[in-house]
Amino acid sequence: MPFDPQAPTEEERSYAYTLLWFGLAAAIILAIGNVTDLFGVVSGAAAAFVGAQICIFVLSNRWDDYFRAVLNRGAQVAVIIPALWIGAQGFAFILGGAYRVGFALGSAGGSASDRRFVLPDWTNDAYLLASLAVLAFYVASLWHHYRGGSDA
Amino acid sequence: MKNRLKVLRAERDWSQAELAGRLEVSRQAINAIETGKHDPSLGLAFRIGRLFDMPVEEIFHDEE
Repeated sequence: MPFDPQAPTEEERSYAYTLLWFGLAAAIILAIGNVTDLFGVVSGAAAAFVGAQICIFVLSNRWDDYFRAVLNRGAQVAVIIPALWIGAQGFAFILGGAYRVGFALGSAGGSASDRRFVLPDWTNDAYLLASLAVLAFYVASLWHHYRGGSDA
Repeated sequence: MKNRLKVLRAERDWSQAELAGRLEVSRQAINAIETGKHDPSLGLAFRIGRLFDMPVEEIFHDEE
């Protein structure tokens, strides 16, 4: 293995797991701040922190392969959040379209848009979606580290 | 996948942190490998083999 003078020490590598807890705390502040307007500027700082931290976690190649496995599990779960979100949007869109077609064929009175199924406005909030995905990333990473089973 | 890492480490009287330092990984990574929570990458498995001067298959073996 070639000598790398910039290589992190064992303590520095272990500290990365502590940073995950800081990230989780920031992600919780971010998620709560999103729905309650609590925390104010702290919520903005939390957003900047988790954004920068996740970029460093994902883009840096200085982590060992176990930490990468922990981050990968977090990323897998985090991706499920927008997948479910967009899936629900798609389902609502199909339902709405089907209702309009049915309404037109049935030629009932009134407006089809009055009664068609529509998701609530908060489902279009990208900031909320991102904060939930970030929260899922940290929860899943830490869960994998402390409770996870074999990767095999 | 099972492994003999804990035994080999104990034979040399190394702590997990000491072994981690020699392999350039975190102590948590060593703990995860020893407890069977994590299977190391091929590169790390070969580094472990070189450190203990043993073939990889003498350290790691599948559970069948």
